[in-house]
Amino acid sequence: MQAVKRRGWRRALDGGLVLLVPAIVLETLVLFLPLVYVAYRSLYDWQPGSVSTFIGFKNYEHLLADPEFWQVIGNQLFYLLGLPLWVIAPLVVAFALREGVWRPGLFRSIYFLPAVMSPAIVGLVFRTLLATDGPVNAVLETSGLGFLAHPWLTDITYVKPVVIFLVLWASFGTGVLIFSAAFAAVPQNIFEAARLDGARFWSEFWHIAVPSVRGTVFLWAMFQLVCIFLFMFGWIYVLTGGGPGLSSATMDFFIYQQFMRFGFYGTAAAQSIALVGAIVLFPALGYGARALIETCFKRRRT
Amino acid sequence: MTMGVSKWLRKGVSGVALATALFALAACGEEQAASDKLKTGPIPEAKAELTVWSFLPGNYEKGVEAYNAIAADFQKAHPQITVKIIDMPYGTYFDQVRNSVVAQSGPDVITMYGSAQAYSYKNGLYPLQDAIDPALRKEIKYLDENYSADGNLYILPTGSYGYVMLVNRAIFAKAGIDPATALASWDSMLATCKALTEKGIQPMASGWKDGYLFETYLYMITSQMMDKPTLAKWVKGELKLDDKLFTDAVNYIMDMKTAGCFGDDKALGRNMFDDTNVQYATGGAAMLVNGALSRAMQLVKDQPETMAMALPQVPASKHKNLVDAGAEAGWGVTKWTKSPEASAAFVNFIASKESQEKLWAAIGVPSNISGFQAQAQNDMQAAYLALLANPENHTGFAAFPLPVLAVMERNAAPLMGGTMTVQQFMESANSAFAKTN
Amino acid sequence: MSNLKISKLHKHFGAVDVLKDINLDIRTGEFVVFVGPSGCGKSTLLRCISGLEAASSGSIEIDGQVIDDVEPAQRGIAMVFQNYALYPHMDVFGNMAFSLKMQGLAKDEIRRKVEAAAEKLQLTPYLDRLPAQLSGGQRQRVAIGRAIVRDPKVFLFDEPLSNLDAALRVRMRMEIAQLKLQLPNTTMIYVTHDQVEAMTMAQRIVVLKDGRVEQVGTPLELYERPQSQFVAGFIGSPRMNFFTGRHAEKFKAHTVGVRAEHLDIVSAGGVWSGKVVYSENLGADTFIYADIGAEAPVVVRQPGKSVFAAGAEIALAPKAQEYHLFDEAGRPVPK
Ligand SMILES: Nc1ncnc2c1ncn2[C@@H]1O[C@H](COP(=O)(O)OP(=O)(O)OP(=O)(O)O)[C@@H](O)[C@H]1O
Ligand SMILES: [Mg+2]
Repeated sequence: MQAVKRRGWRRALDGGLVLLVPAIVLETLVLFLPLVYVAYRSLYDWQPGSVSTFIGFKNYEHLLADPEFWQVIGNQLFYLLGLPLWVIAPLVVAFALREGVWRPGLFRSIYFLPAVMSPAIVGLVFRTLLATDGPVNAVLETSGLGFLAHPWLTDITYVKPVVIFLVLWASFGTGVLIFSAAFAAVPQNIFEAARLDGARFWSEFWHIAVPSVRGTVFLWAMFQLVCIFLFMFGWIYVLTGGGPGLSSATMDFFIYQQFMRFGFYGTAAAQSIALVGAIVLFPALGYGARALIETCFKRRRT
Repeated sequence: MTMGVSKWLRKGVSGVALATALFALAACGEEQAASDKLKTGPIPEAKAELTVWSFLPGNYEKGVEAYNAIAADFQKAHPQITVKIIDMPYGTYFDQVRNSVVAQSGPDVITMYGSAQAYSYKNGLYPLQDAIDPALRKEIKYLDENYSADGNLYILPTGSYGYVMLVNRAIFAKAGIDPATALASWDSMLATCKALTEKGIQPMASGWKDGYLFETYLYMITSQMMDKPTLAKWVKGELKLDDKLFTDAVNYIMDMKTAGCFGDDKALGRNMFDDTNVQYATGGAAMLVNGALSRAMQLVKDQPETMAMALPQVPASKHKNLVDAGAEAGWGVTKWTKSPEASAAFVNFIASKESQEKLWAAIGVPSNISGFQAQAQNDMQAAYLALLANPENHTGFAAFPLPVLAVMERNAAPLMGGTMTVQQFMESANSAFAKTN
Repeated sequence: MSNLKISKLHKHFGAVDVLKDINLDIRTGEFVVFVGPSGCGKSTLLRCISGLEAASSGSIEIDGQVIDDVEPAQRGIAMVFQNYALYPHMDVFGNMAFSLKMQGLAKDEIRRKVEAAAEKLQLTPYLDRLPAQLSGGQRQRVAIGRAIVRDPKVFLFDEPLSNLDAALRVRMRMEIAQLKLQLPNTTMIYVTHDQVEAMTMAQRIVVLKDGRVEQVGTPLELYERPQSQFVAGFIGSPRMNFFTGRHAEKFKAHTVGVRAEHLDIVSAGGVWSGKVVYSENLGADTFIYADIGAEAPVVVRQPGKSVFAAGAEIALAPKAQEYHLFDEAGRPVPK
C-alpha cells in the first residue's frame, strides 16, 4: 500500500508535475490567497492597522448604489468597443505581411517597439504629445489644420476613443507577432488555393485567413478582454488620471483611488471582487458566444 | 501559468496586481487597537535610527542640504540617534505612505498635511496633541485648523504658505491699468478681467485639468467666507459641505470665469502644475495664483515686474484683507516606530523656532512661529511676508476630506468647460463628503 | 480549346536560376506529365503556369492569348496540390463551392454544380464533413472536385498522389485516368517523380533536369529513343544499366546503356561476365543482380522463375540492337 502510494508520487514527480509546483505555489501565494482574503475583507469595514468591523454586504450595497461605480462600469463597456479594433488591426497587418515585405526586421522592430516599453513611459510620451499646448496640436495649427486640433485627453467625447487608439498602438506589435506566428503555422497552399479560386485580399482574409487562425484570434481577443479589465491602470494613471471627471476611469484605476488615495479599504475590496467577477464573466461570455457560433456554423448546412 | 506571471511582470504596473499585493501586505499586518498614546519623555540611551519621509526637501533647490542640517543638529543633541531623511517625489508620496499604513511598517516620521488629510492615514499615525512641548505650543501658528474631526492632532505643522495673486505690473502697465485699483475689490477685479480680455490679454494663468487650481480658488474664497467659529466647525466636521457657503464660493469662481478671468477653453487641457506657471513665466497671463514664497521668487526671475497682492475679498467675506494661509505641511509620528520618544522629540525639534529660523535662512521657508521676524531681502519677500503676517489669515484647506477633493479635482474641468452644472458639481462633491462620515 | 504555349520562360529566385529557357507546346486535351528529379523545377514551372509565381522572363499563352498579367483565378486554370490544400474549416461542400462563391454565382447554381461534381467523384455522402474527417483518398478527391467545379481549361496536378499508400495510389491513378476520359477537352498537366505514374498516365512526358527541358515525347519514344543518358536512366524501371570504360570498349563508345529486360544470359559469346550477387523473384519475372567488376551491379530481367544461386558465374549479352550508346557528355551516339 505504502509502496504503491510512493510510486504514484514518484510518477507524478517524474511526469513533470515537479516543474509545475513552483508555478502553482507562486500562483497560490500571489493570487489566490490574497483574493480569498480580499473577499473575506470585503465583508468588513476594513481598517488595516486598526479594528475592522463585520458589516455583511454593506460594502457591496454601497457600491451598487454608487452612480460613480456604474459610470466606471460604463467606461469599461465603452473600452470593450475597442476590442474588435485591437484584434482586427494586427490581424490584417499580420495577414498583409504574411507574404513578406521589404525589410521585415525593420517592420517588426517598428511594430514591436511599443510592446516592450512600459505603459508608464509610452503614456508619458503621449500625454506630452497630446497635451492642449503639446506638439501634436502645435503641428496641426502651424500646418493650417488648426480645426483638427483638439484637447485630446481632456475632452469627454474624445478621451475614451483616444485611449483606445493608444492602447491599440501599444498592443499592436504583440498582436502582429502572435498572428504572424499563427499564419506561419498554416500551410501556405491553402492561401494559394484560395487565390486560384478567385479570392481577393479581403475575401481571402475573411474566408480563409481568419478561420484558419481562429483559435489564435479567439485567444488574443480573450487576452485583450482581460487586459481591458486588468491592464488599463498604467495607461489611465499616466494619461488621464481617470478624467475629465470620471469619463476615462477604469475599474482598476477606481480601485486604486479608493484604496490608495482615500483609504476606503472595504469598498476597494468589494470593488476588487466585482472586478474579478467581470474578468470571469466576460471571457465566459466570449467562450459561450464562440460555442454558440460554432454550433450555428455547423448547423447551417444540413 | 508561467505566461501569466511573465505578462504580469512585463506589464509592470497593473491595478489589480498592485491592489492584490497591497492586500497581501495588509494580510500580514497585525490588527491592533486604535489610538495608543505616543510615549514621550527622555530618549533611551540605546542606539537607534529614525527614518523620516518627506517631499519637502525636493521643493527647494538646496532643500536636501537644509533638512539634513536640521537632522544633524538633532543628532548633535541626541548622539545615540541617527536621523535619515529620505527625500521622496511628491507624485507618488501619498501612495508610499498608504502602503506603509496598510503594511504597518516603514518610516518613523513622515511629512503629512493635517486635519482631514491626516485623518485618512490615522491608522498609521499617533495623535500628537499631548506630545507637543508646552513652550512650542504657545508660539506655533495654525494648530487649531490642523486637528482632525475625531479631535486628534495627527501632525505638528511647520512653515507657512499663503495663496496670493502674483501680478505682472509690466503687462498691467501696457494695458494702462493700475494693479492696486484693479485688485482693490471683487467687482473691480471682475471688471479688470473684462478689460484685460478686451485688450487680448489673458488675465489669470489657468489650467483645470488636474483640478488643483480650482481647489485653490475654493480654499481662498471659503477661507474669506469663514469667520473663526465657522472655521472651527468646519475643522470639527460640524459644518457640512452642503452648507450654502460652499455653493456660493463655487459660484464666485464661476463669476470669475464669466468675467473672462481664466481665458479660453484651452485652460481645460492645462494643469495647474506646471502649465500655469509656465504660462505666467512666459508672459502669457497677467496674474497667477501662488502659494509658496519660494516659487514666487523663482517667477520674479522670469517676470521681474512681478508683485504679490491679496485676492480681493468676495462680497460675502467675513474679513477685511484675509489671505488664505496656513502651515506649509506638518510632521507625524507613525504607530510602528520603534523609537517613539526620539520621534516625538524630532517632530518637536523640527517645528521649533530655531529649526524654522534655520530653514528660513537656508531655503526661505517662512515659519509658522508667531511673531516671526524675518529680514526681507527684496520687495517680493517683503510684500509676501507682510501678507502672511496678517493675523486674520487662516485656511480650511486641510479639512476638505480627500475623496471630496478627488471628486472636485476630476470635476473641475467639466465644470469649467460647461459640461457640468454647479448643482451637479456640488451634488457629486456632497456624495463624496457623505462617504467620509 | 486550350492550347498552352510556353516560350523562353526563365525563373530565378534571387541569384538561383530555377527555370532556364523553357519552351513547350501543349495541345488541347492533352495529358502531359512533368517528371524529373527532386528540385529540378517541376513545381516552379507549374506555379508559373498557374500564375502563383510570376515568370522572370518569357511568356505563357493560352489559345494564343498571353496570360502573363492575368490573375491566377482568371487564367482558367485549376490546381491540385500535393497536400490537398483543403480549407480545413470548411466542409466538403464549402471547399468545392468556394471558387463559385467567389465568382458570385447564385446559390442554387452553386449547389447544382457542386453536387454534380460530388456525384462524379463519389463524394455525395461526405458533403458536410470537414477535411479532417476524411481519408487521404477522399481528401484528394475533394481537391480534384474543387478543381472540377471551376470547369478549367487547364488542370494542374502537383504530385497529387505522393501522400497516398501504394494501393490507393494505383486506384487514384485509375480514377484520374477516367476523369481525363470524361473531360476530353481539358488539358491536364501532371507533375510526378514517380516514373511509373508518368509512363502509365501520360500522353506526353516532359523530362526536366536542373531547370531545363531534357526531352519531350510519348512514353514509348522516351523509352525507346532517349535523347540523353539522363533520360535513358530516368525512364524505365528498373533503371537502365550503364557500362563504361573497359566494359564499353567493344562498342567504341564512352557509355553503353542496356535495359534489364534487354539483357540475355548466354552460355557462350557473352559481352560481359560476372558473378550473381543476388536474385529477386517477383513471380512473373526475376531480377538478377550480377557483379561484373563495375561500380554498380548489373540488373538482368528474366521471365519466369529462373534460379541462379548467389556466386554462380554468368555471361551477359544485349538483345540485338537493344542498346544505346552515349558520349562523355551523355549525348546519344548513332550505332
Ligand atoms: N520561393 C523560393 N525561393 C527560393 N528558391 C526556391 C523557391 N521555390 C523553389 N526554390 C528552389 O527552386 C528549385 C526548384 O524547386 P521546385 O519546388 O520547383 O522543385 P521540384 O522539381 O518541384 O522538386 P520536388 O520534386 O522535390 O517537389 C529548388 O532548388 C528550390 O530550392
Ligand atoms: Mg515539387
